[in-house]
Amino acid sequence: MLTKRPKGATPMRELRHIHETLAVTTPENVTFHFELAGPSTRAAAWGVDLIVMTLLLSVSTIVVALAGVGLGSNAVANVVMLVVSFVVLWWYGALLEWALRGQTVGKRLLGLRVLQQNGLRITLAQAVIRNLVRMVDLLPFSYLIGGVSLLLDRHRRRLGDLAAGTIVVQERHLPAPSVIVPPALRYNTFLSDPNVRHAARRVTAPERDVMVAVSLRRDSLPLHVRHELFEELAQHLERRLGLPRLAQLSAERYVLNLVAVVLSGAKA
Amino acid sequence: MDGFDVNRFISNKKPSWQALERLVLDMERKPDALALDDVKRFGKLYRAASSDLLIARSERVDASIEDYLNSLVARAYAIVYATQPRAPRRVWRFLVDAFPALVRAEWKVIVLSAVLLFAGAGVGAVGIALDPSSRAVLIPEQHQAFSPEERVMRDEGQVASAGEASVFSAFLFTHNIRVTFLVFALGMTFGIGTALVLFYNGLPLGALAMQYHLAGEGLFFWAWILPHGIPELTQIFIAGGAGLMIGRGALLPGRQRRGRALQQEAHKAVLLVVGGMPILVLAGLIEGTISQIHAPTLPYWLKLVVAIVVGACLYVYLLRSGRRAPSQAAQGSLRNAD
Repeated sequence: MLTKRPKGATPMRELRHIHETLAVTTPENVTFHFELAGPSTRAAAWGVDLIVMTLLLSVSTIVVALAGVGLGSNAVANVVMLVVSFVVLWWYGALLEWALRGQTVGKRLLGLRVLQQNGLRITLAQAVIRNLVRMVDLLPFSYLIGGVSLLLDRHRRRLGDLAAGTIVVQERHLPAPSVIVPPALRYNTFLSDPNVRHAARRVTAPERDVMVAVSLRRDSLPLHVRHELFEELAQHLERRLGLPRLAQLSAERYVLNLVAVVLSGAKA
Repeated sequence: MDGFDVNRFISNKKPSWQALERLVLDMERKPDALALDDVKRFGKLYRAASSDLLIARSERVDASIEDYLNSLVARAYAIVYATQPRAPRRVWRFLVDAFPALVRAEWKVIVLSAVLLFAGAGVGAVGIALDPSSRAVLIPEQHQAFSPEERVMRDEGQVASAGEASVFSAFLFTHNIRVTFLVFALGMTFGIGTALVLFYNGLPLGALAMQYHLAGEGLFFWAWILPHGIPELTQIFIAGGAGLMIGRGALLPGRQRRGRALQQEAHKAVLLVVGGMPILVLAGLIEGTISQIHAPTLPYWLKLVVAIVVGACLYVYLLRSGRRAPSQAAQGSLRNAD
């Protein structure tokens, strides 16, 4: 029922006007962009973290209580519990974000990461600052201050991020683009067919862009989407160019061969 | 895209992109376990991917290629320019040298936060002296159940079990550390919240002191409060100062950009809060034990001596420790902050 969302379905350049991004320029003078995390994803990550903290606290309560009964000492159990709950409630975020390179359990689950404003890994001091200032972000109730700050700031920072100099980014592990004509299938009869070469000149720029886009992404598309897209594209091209598709040629191969011709024609 | 062979670009470069991707994964998992050859290769691949990103952008190739290279370069960049990671050995040096040096460097805001708390205490004391019925507002509920005389009657000679004392201690220091976190975090309200909490926490202190004095139980009170009160209040002042520093950064950025000034102040301030946690653990241990044992078990003069000794040690530490190389020590622990 769950169709797996293709990875990289919302690439950065295409959605740069929808998502907030932050540009970082490296010492090599190369600029790259981070996609800043929005309030809803961050709230979801925080929700997951709350559940994890609750679990940690309840499990340790049970373990410590049992240990206390075993040792016959209630006081030791109480002391340990006070310290454990202090550590969980006040240091969960700071210690995890430091140790896991800017991620808590919730952030990892939702693909978020805390980074320095220059794109580097956060320091311990930054992890502690942003997690202590959380107390003020939570005021007066349910992240009102933090949320308002997040919406007003152009880098989507809550007060803790402002004080620590950190940003929260959405990470996407994009798949490497696919080669349009795999080397083994280079013997593309279309390339030497003058009819095809002639027809290929009539391919418009938007058509070419669609063909290239679909071809490059084909390995990261779910199978049925991939099949449908190529089928539709092949039918369109057959009609438009008057180039019938031979029976042994799949829709995908037909489009790929044409893209190869179009691209090589552009070069010639 | 005219004149640019996307196909050749991808098929030529893809192996090295994927090699870099694998190295990035390895580095992210185990940063120290990489062979020297791999590190050298990493540098080359990173620079190659960076220039490929520039090519992809200038040739306006399909967005999927540019975005892939963008995320690859971003991940590799964080590894190439990684900051120094953990160094637990520095914790000790930080506590011995850098923390007291920072306290001395920021003495003005710390004194200001003490003044704010004592102002609250003064108001509390005057309030009780003028109108004893104002204790309903000024004194916390758990202290209103008894008059000073009743409290002295009840507590003198009573000794809590070791278990009770340790639970109480743990409660106290976790609570007090939370208070220091709060005054620190409230610095983000331009220091106003910090100042209010400091003042507000002073009120019951002054009110209780005046109440016990008026009842002629001053000695009991000071022997009860001072042994833990000196370290506890000192760290509250320091944390209050940390909150005021954040407010200072936000309000008075000077020649810097406001955000930058705020971040610099916060990086120093957080050291004051975290570095003072051991002081609050000590104060909690004293409060849970010595402070709660009264005459005749523990004579008042002896408790006052304990208070003086603890206070003297604390202030020698804060005012003297790490004096030899203060600037070096402070820099050492702050280097990562930038």
